[in-house]
Amino acid sequence: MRTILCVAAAALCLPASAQEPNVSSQARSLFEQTRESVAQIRVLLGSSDSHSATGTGFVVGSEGLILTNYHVVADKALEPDVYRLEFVLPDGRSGPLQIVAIDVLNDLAVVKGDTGGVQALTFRDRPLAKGDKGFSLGHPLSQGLTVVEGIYNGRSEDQYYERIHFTGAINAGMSGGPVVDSAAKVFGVNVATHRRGQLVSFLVPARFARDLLVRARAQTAAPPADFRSDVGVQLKAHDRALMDALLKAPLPVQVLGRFVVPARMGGFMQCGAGTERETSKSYDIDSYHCYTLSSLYVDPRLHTGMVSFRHRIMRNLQLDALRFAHLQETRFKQGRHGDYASRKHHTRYACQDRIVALQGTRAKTAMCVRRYQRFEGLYDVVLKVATLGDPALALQSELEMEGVSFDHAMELSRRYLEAIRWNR
Amino acid sequence: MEPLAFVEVLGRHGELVARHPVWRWPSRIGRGYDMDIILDDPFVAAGHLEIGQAADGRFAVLDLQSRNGMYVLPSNEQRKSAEVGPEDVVRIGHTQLQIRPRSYTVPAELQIRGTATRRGPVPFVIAAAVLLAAVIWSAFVTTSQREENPVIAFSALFIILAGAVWISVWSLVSRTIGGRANFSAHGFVACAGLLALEIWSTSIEYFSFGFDARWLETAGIAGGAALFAYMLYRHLRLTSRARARALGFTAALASALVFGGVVAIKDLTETTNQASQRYSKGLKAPYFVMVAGLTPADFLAGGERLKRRVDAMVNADP
Repeated sequence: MRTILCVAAAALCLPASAQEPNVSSQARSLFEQTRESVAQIRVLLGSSDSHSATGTGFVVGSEGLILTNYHVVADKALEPDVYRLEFVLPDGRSGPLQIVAIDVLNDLAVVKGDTGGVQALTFRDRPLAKGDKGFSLGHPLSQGLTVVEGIYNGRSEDQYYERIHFTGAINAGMSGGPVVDSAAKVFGVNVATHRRGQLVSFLVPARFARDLLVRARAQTAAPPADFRSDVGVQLKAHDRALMDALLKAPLPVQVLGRFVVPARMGGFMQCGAGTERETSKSYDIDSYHCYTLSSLYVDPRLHTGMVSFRHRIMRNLQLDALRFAHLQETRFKQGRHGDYASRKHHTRYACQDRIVALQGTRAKTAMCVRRYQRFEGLYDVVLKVATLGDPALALQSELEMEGVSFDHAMELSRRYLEAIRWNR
Repeated sequence: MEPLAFVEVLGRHGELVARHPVWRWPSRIGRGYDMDIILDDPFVAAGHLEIGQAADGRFAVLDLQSRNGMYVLPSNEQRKSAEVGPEDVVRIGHTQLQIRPRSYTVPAELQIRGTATRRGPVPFVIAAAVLLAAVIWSAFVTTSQREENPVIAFSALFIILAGAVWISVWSLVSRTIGGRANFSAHGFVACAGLLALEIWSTSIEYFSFGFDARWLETAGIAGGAALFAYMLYRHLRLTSRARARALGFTAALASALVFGGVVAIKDLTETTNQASQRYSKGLKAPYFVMVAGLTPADFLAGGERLKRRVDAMVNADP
């Protein structure tokens, strides 16, 4: 049935395109100019021919350098003994790949293989304007090399790291593919799509790719087989940059009813609010949350690098004090759902909890810390506060820091605790 | 003619299984029909043991060259012949024997304890009613909306059903072992025990919260185990006539297994990170707080300890 439909569609389309030769000629000519430089990247398990993941990469140098996403090759970078990397060029040539350099923060990697003779793609120097056309290439869901036309829409406004907002159908498997302008110059690298969006896709700006390439070429020593320590160093750089940005100014505060609480920090946190105010309820709860959209992909089971906080104002409408206290207890217990522990990535949490005197109120305060198994000096820290000031009104606040150094975590926690105030 | 002594066959746990009179010295014991005392144990020889009188009311036992020999407990060493007293146990094949003279003096009879009222239905009904009220109250405190009222009904129903099963099982066991069901007495023990556990755990929650003392929670688990052990002990006393010390030991062991098992399983089944966040989650109404509270700086100083703990948890090579 599918085949018949396609034939019918082709029959309908062919005469039309014969009459209007310009309709898709731009995409077609760009595809033809660039196709030979775009490879499929396969991550193979052990010595098998079965791939555990696929992505796209493009040739960027005559010496066989290929650019792709870090997340495509992450398994190989962290567990070189378990995985193999392989490229397949459109002309059918294939071969093994080695990782040369990685950039976890911008999700890029430079790999090297025997691609002799393949023309390298070049980068665009000048900025684009919103509305400019772009053409993304890649291997979506193993459907063969595909070209997708889309629109450049400037910088993504919510992400911490600079990403291009590209309106086009980028799908799994296209990761690491080039996005070219109408002159076949690369201005971005396919990296992600918005989970709730339609055609809302993101690209890594080409300048980060160029920087990484410069770094890869300047490298004199042979690249390590295992990039674990390199990943660790980059995660620490992320922690430094992000936490410095959050800590450089005094902690901003906001007034929520009778509470003064920490507010959007650093100017780049994303914030939202929600409420539970149904008529049958004997209480209401307003919640406010902020987070940095700075999640880093480390490996398929480990994403890190976000800082977030949440406040809940709980108002008692018709409960007695004991029942309202129990309601607070159930909320104080809650954490993030579906967060399954993998002892490969983290230690268990170690926690402490005490009653702490904050400004204008006492509060039950808990802190939990766990360390990253493979990256020294990086911790996840959770701070939870539940005020004990009034049987009819309470604030619960939670600060979560992922992949941070311990000192940074303690400093932000201290400011956070000191900022909370109950105006009597 | 009066018997000279008695040969007593003991069961696996030392209980009396059969008592055979001895009519003459020496007497022979074995599987053969020409024996003075005939045993049906297939591991006993046709003619296995000869017993005779020795000095001081003791007895001489002699192995009649059986294949499996004779052992004297508790040392459990094989002997050709031995001299045994009325408290010694001789094993031949899989049979344990003791020999007691007619002059053996038995200890004084036990006092029947427990008054009729404590074993009657009135304390049981009162305890059950108070327990039910406590369960309903604690379920009520955990609800916050009218829609949750069924939760209260369910918890009441659950305690009634679970309690009925528990009491019935104990009564059945009592009936089987001791011949008396003691239903009301078991009911009182169960209800009073659960009530004590409920009161205990609730007070621990409030005290550990109010005084900000986490060690109380650990002590609370130990105390709960002790209460549960005492409850089991009372059940066992109603069930078995074995020695109090043995029953107490059994109850303590069972309680330790139950409480230890629950704690250990909780520890092992920690599959989410959420579960590994072990801080005291109890939060009570503000007027139960009895401490001034730490300063934020003092609280955060404790973070160093957490850091050391998680650093020590890191695997050498994950």
